Amino acid sequence: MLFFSFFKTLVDQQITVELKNDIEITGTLRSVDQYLNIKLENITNKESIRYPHLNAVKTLFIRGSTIRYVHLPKSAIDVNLLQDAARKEAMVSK
Amino acid sequence: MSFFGFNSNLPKDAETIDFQDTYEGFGEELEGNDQFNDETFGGDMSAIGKDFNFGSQSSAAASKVDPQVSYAQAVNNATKNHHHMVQSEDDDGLKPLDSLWDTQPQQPSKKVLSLEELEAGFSTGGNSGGAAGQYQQQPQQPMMPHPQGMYPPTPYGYGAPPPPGFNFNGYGGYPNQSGGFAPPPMMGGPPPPGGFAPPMPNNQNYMYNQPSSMGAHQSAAAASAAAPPPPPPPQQTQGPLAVGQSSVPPPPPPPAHQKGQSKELDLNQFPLLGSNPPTHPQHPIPQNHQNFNDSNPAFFNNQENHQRQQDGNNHNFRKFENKPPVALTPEEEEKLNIKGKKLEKIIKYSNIMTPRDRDFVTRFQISQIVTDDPYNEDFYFQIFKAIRSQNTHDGSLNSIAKYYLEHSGHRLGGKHKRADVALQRMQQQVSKAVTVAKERPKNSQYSKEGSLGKISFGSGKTPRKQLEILKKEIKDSAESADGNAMVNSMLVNFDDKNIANVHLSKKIILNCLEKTYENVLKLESQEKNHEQIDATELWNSLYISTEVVNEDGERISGKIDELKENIFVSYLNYEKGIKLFPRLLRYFSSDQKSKMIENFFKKISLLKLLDESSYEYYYAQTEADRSKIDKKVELFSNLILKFIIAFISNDLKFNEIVKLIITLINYNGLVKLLPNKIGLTLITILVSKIELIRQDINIMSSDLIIWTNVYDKLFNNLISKLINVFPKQLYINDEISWIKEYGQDKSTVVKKTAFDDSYIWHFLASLALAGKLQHQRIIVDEVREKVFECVEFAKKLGQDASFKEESIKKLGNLNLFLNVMGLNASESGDITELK
Repeated sequence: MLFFSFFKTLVDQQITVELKNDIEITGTLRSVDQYLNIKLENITNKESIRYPHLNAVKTLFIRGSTIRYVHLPKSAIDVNLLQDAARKEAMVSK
Repeated sequence: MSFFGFNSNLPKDAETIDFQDTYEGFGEELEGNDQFNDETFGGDMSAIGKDFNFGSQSSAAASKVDPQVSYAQAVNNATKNHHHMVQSEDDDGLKPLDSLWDTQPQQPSKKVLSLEELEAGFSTGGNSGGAAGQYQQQPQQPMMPHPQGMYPPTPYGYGAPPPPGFNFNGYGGYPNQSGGFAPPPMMGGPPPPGGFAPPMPNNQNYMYNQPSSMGAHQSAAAASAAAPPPPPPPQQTQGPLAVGQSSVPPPPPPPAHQKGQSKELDLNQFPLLGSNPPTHPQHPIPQNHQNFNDSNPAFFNNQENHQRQQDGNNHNFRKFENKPPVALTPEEEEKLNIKGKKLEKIIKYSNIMTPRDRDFVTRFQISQIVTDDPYNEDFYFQIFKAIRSQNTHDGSLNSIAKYYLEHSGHRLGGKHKRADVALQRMQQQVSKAVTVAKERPKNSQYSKEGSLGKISFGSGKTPRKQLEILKKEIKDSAESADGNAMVNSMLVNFDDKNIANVHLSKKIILNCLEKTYENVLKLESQEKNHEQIDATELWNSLYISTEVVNEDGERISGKIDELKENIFVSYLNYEKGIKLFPRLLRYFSSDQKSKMIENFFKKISLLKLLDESSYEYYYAQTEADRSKIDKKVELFSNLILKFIIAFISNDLKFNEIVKLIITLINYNGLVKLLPNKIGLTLITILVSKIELIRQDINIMSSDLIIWTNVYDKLFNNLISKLINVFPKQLYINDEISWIKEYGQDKSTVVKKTAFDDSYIWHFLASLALAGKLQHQRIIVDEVREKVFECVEFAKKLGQDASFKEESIKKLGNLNLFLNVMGLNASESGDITELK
């Protein structure tokens, strides 16, 4: 639940999702679920020439399993809390 | 023919085996019609057809959208069809009537019937039509022989006691003409005539049908049923219900107290997971409906809900009926046609899921993400939200409901976005989901007897693992709980003899630190749950006093135990250790805290930050590294130094402070404390606090003598090192005398301030104050040069108008020290005796 819990706090933040097929999409995180499927709004993609079909799209639903990285806004993350959350998670799974 | 020299030709007289003879011909038997096939696969497959359109209409019917047919007209038509259907009930009741779908007379009529006309029509044509009318006028109707498995019409449409887990709210909308239950549309069967648009669940619909919300409920009810305005046929089929309603006196409005009652019931009647039967099982027909009804209040309530629902439909109907007739131009007609087709597409699959199905899906989704222990399982989110927005923490379930509602796109509030209603509903769902989540089996694997594989359950919380890694069995799990075993096992191969070779590696320290963190987290969550708190384990995990006293009261600590005493201060070499420190304190008694401070002073030489921030090291670093060190020092000062200073000044007694100084001297900590701010601040607070106490209260003379001795010892340790308290080039080298702050481009200097030397003069002042004249002389001798340099520097500063203030401050700091000895430095640079 840690990642889900974590991503929930990033709703309404600007994130960049890097997919396993190398497409990078930036947008506002609208929602996320327990599979880390992601709903993005107002998306832009870096290489609009390579992926022109994304130009017409404003809102996206991305299946969690296709995501390679999510670039996060540093200011929106409480690192100490995240460490504690990770400890808690580890304690539960022990 | 020879095959590898083997003569395959058998002698002709040999007995030959004809394989045909050995075959008993089972296959031939099988190749014919297997009489059991039908039983298994359901008979003639060709009859099934290939129309897998599960939409509420067949595509053929969908194309026949006629905007010209008014709603009222449609209702009338439907009523007639119903009438027709009731008569043909003896045929297959489930078979859709052709007339309804295809041969329905298309009579474009611009005339819209008035209410009176309609009612007149109903009283003649629609007398026995409509599901509602049917069951409410049952006594006047001849009992139809009904097909097996169907229910006879009953006063309430459902003639059977509810099977366990069965929910009337969900299936209440499917009475068909035979009075039985139609399979839900998603089964793919033919749509039951007259009732294919399942009415919305009562608890949803009913919210809008309360007398108090009459204004909003008409369109809201329509919206929540996903039933669009005029053209689409689904509305037609709601008509009969309304028709039946209008021919009998309307039910009395439910008394006010019913609201709460039936609402409560709705809450409890949410279907349970997995209890959704595809079709209704057969049940014996109850003989006395009235008795049954009386003895089943829940059932009664459902019936009322049902009536309210009809009420709602009735209103819908009237709304559309009152629409003024409009003459349409062909263009408009075309537009309407297009619109109608669009709508048709949209609602084609609407209501394919019953409200129960939707509830089920929603709850299932939520049950995956909710937890009854959000503090532990949703820790980051909960705390993060609590920190970032102090006021929005209004109950975790509520927040989940809100959250889910906001972000799932569920619009249970309907067109009017009645967020409160939707939220309420979602809250119910969430609380149900929590219950379900609790009931769900906790084990992640399940192997059924006789099965070859294991069934593993994955959930959002614990995704199914692709790889199962077998954990090593921890042999002494009981012992490892206190963390002691971990350190012991790391040090186990060393005894006191080769202890010199042992050092506390980073790994050991970080392991211990994590253990301490765990203890803190445990205590914090216990604290939150208002449980009894026992910080012993936490205390032990710091290894502050590992003294073991034997039966005779002697201290028996080996060198390993001494080594363990290094652990606590070693924690402070890591940022997370520093950050943990303030969180520890609240769990410890004053006594434990002073032990902690004692341990700190005893092992202070282990503090790496003292080395890093020592002038010699610090000024040898690059700019970037220096700022890193600065940050560390700042963190340390804010989180640890502040506490220690406060604790020394508020909680410790004279003797205890003296003891700390003795500890410092005995454990060779002093040297490291001199050439950096942290160390000097520590000595300053110790010495000056003792002076303060001495001036305030009468100290026993024996204690004073001890202190005089300790001071002498302290001073002896400092002699000839006092110059080290200054950075070597201070006041001479501008690089050191000035602190520059850089702008964002990291090359232009934004702000320039003089090196803050106040802590140094404070230290010298307190040292001089606590000492005697002879001590003061030595001090002055040692730092004389720096005093003059400082005066010069201040003079130089004073020449620049913008640094005038700093110049005065510098002299002020210097004078703090000089005044102790009766001296004073003036702005002109002269040092004179204090008058």
